[in-house]
Amino acid sequence: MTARHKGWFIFVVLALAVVPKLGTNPYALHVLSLVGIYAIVTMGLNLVFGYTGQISLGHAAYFAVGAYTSGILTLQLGAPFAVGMIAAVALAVVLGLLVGIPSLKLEGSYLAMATIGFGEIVKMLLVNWEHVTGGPAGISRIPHPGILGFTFNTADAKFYLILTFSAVAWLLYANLLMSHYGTRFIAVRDSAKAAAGMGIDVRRTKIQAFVFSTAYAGMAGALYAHLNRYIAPDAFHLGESINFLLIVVVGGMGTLLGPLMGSAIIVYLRESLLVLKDYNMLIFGLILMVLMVFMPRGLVGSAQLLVSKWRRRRA
Amino acid sequence: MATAQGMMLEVSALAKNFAGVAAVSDVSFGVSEGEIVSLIGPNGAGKTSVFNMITGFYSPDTGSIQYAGCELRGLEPFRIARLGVARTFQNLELFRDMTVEGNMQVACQCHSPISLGAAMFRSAAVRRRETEDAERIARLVDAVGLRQQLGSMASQLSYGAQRRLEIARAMATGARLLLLDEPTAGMSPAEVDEILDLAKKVRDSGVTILLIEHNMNLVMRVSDRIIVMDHGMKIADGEPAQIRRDARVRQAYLGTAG
Repeated sequence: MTARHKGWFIFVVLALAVVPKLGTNPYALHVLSLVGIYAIVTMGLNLVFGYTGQISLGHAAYFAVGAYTSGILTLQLGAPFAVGMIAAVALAVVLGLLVGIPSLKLEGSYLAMATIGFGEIVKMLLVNWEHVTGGPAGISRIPHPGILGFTFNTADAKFYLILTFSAVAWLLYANLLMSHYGTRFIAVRDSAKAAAGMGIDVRRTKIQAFVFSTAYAGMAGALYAHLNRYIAPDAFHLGESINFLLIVVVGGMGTLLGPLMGSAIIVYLRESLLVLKDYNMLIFGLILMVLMVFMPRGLVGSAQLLVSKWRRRRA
Repeated sequence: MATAQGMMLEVSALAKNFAGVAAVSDVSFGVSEGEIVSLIGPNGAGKTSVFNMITGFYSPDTGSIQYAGCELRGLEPFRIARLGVARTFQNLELFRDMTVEGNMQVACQCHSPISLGAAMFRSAAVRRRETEDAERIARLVDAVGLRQQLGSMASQLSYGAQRRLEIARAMATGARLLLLDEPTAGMSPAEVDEILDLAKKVRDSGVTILLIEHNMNLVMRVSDRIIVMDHGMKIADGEPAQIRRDARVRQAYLGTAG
């Protein structure tokens, strides 16, 4: 990252850190925390879908794996939050490898089908493995997260915890994509043939991107479980996987900032449209259509296009 | 014919059938270090198929491909690239949505020891390596005249510039053997001359070149040796002057070309 990027990064994190001090109500902080959690999931998914060009319609499953792993470990075994978090990421990585290695041999709609299949299997497990997952009723009273004796039991504290995780997740993701190493993902998307001809192991690159994304989804899932303190299978259905993809597309596929912008707009849209009750999805859908018609490259992608056009006109 | 001694690449009895049609049958030839060897022949003669087999994109039905003491047959394309064999593509396979610089950065990773984790944490090794790569890229884009376009999208370059970028990108892998598949296709005579100079520069920097080319003027001027194929078979192999006199070549290739 250049000095300018670092400056922006610090500025945005500090600006967000001030938000709870402005007397923001707990609900607003909860929604902002959700934006952070969705941003973590979709940073990973953007690497897979936006940069590497591989679709996944099963990311809600890895999100669920993270949430249930940490939820169960901390609630039933009394494990500390850190252990729950590490286990959540580890299990998401293992499952990412187990699913990714065979299914990334597939392409396009076949890969989509395979990932949907995995999502459904996980959902079945959550519903039917009752004595572990609590079945359809899910798990409630998940402990507040605690680190080194400090308990994050207020909306403020949880917001800061999630802000920290999102900021670190962002740094690692941005470092990767701004490095020369990061170019291999786009190379695989643009021409797998040429990438192989340049010595890039295409299959390994796809698996790396996929496992990076499942690790991020697992991390976000654990945060979600401790933010909400209640999880149930309903929150992790196919619609949620589609929602993650939607965030990537609306934000701007293959743009660094896309997941942040996409998460912010989709989470806020969904929350603010709830007042419309039955018409909520109708309006949500309409807004999405308008967005995609006028900004086919997503918020960030279309903004970049505008800026570069404007610069060219001035030049 | 050269002997096996000092051969960089040795192709023997190579054959490939597609649904019963013989694309390549019993082709053998060698390339010595530091040579520019051209592979010529009418369309459909099997030249690109030979390239695809050397670089691992097709697997041969029979035969062997020895490169610097290694058998390439059965290796995946990326492994062959890492052994030092790079190629360009007949129909251009640039990373179109990436800048010229990005295209070069991909290729620079061919022998890079950098891991995913190191890139995420931006270790000192990553920073050092990226500085070295930037210098290498600057030298290579200078050599192909793309310095000014470093930040341009590959898809926005002129056709000739795209072809030159492909050559520079292949060079950035640190290749010892470069396979160029019709590098002058669709180019103006002035651009063809640029490619000719470039090929010589590349050879002089110690890289061996195997070239598929239809421009006979270029082939005759640049080649140390010429291999002629027709209907999947090798019909001649020799220095340009010999090839020019060869009756079978005239009949199969030069005859039809006028």
